[in-house]
Amino acid sequence: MTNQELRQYRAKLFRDASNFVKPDRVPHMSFFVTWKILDAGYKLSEAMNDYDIMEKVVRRHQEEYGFDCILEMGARNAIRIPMALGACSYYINDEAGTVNFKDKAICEHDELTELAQDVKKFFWEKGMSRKYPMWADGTVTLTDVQKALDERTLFMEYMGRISKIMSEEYALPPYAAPKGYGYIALDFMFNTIRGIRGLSIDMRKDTGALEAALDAVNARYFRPGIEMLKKAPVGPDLNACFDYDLTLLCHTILNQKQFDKYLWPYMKETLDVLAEKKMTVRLFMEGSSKRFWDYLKDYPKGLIVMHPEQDDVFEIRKELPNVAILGGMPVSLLGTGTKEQCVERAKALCEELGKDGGFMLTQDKMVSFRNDAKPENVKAVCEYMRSL
Amino acid sequence: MLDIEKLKQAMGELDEDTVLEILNGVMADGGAEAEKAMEACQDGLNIVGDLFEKSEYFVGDLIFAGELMTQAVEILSPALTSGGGSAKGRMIMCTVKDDLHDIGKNIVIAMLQASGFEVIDLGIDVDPQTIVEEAKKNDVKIIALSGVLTLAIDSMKATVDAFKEAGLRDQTKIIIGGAPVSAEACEHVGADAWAHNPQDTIRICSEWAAQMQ
Amino acid sequence: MDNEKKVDITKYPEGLEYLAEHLQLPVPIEDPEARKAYVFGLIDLLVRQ
Repeated sequence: MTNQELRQYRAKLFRDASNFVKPDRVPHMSFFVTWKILDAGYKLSEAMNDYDIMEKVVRRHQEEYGFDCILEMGARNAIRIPMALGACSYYINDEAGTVNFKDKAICEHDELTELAQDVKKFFWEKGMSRKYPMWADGTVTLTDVQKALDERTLFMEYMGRISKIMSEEYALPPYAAPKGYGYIALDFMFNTIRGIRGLSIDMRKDTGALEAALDAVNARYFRPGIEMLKKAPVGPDLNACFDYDLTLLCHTILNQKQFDKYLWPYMKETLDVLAEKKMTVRLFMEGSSKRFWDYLKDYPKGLIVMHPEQDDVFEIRKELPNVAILGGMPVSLLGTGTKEQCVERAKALCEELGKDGGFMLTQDKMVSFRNDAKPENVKAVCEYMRSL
Repeated sequence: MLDIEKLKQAMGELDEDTVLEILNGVMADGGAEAEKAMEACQDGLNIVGDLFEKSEYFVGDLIFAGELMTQAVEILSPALTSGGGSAKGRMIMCTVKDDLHDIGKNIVIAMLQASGFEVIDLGIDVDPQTIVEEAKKNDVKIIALSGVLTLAIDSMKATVDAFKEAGLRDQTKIIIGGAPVSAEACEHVGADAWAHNPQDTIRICSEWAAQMQ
Repeated sequence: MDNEKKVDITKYPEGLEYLAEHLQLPVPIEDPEARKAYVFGLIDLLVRQ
């Protein structure tokens, strides 16, 4: 097979599995994030600050293990861009090999109305001030912003380069179609604007202010994406493993009423458009996915690929026979089990869930830290999956 | 005159306006009923815990409940003679080394306090030796370790090992909690129990406290 | 590239207009709206990171 043929073959493995067509073999995706930097023998800060090193890390990851798709190619923690303005929300500890994200809200509860009135002004003045001391004290210069802009250009160049390399030299299909990344407005509030604590308060106190802010954030950041999706041609992009990606975070804190009011309507709208377009979406659900199950059971086969972080994939198959599953390999097993146990798990998953399509193997959680996985376990699973 | 039932129910329903109105009324009347008001708030927080267990409330509600309880303590504290309920004794809780998450820990601490524990909060990113030393210094026999990152499992194990090395393991009960914990992780760590929610943590720690008394 | 204290770039919209006009961007100077959108893309990213 030429590289182009191999890339198409791999994309088809995912497409067949997503559509419950028996694939030639069960495909295997890498959900390894910072682990691959440590596995390649680099410090986290070294690789995150040097795109040439990051390129070597991603190349080595594929050369060493051989997946059918790599979800993360070194772009998750783009620290050089914010550092150009002298601050960064990531806390890197090279000695421990850890990255922690500082959960810092950019908006206070009593500022929600101000946010709703003018999102752009709020981001420009208050959002930037809360993230960057030099913006807050007014010492930021044109030169500083130019540096950040140049760093962004370098980052985009890296992204273009690594995607091309992995596609052309390693025959890996892209994980999602171009512009195939969605987000729910409430998750943006949860993750960036108000934080976990702030959003918990907003949903209980003066909810009108939250609703106005959500509408404004949605109109600026998410509505255009949905409208664009509505205008897209019907049918999947067969060059990519999936058409669309939706990562869901904030359901972990919502009670049922909040879920029904603030999250589901936005999510449903996206799913309905994707169904109409006959596209496939990967849903990654942080924590437990169970509360989504009832809502997803009537969608057609081929639309949803669920990537659960916490739930038993065998139970999901029973409850949601219409939903394809991506996942199944526990990070806890890769980190503490033996090669034989890991291969046994992969075998059981493929036999029970993948024999008629509907299953793709990957890790249940983002593999981040050194002890999350033993390299020999990863290698054994990859070899087994390729041998199918 | 303090309406204890109304305060308890308002706390359980997370009705902030009513809770604050009653508590401010208690203080405006001189604070003589502050102790009773605090007990009613703690009972209300137990209702919150029960509703969480029934899946009527979720984590966001627990966070809000913690905020409301903090406000209650602030309002009532000038009139409180004791340091709050500690009928079940002292325990330690913290987020383990290399993990900086504190929201889950803070929720559980608020609920443990409401259930009658005096909780020594050692904060986040706490190394095993510090936990052992604080346990020794404060004569604490129940330890709750929290973590969100998968690497927290390693730090939890190192903490359990540190208690073994200090010769304190047999007399100490250790519970681990947070997203990455599971029965398998608990066995690997060598902890006595594990939990994914505050109610299980309270139940298990309360059983231990009863056995120790 | 300085003289930059004439305008407080931390204020909106004057900061955006100033930056869109003075930064070196891969967008033609004849298209001020596209230049502003490009600069705001950076601000969005910086706030998220």
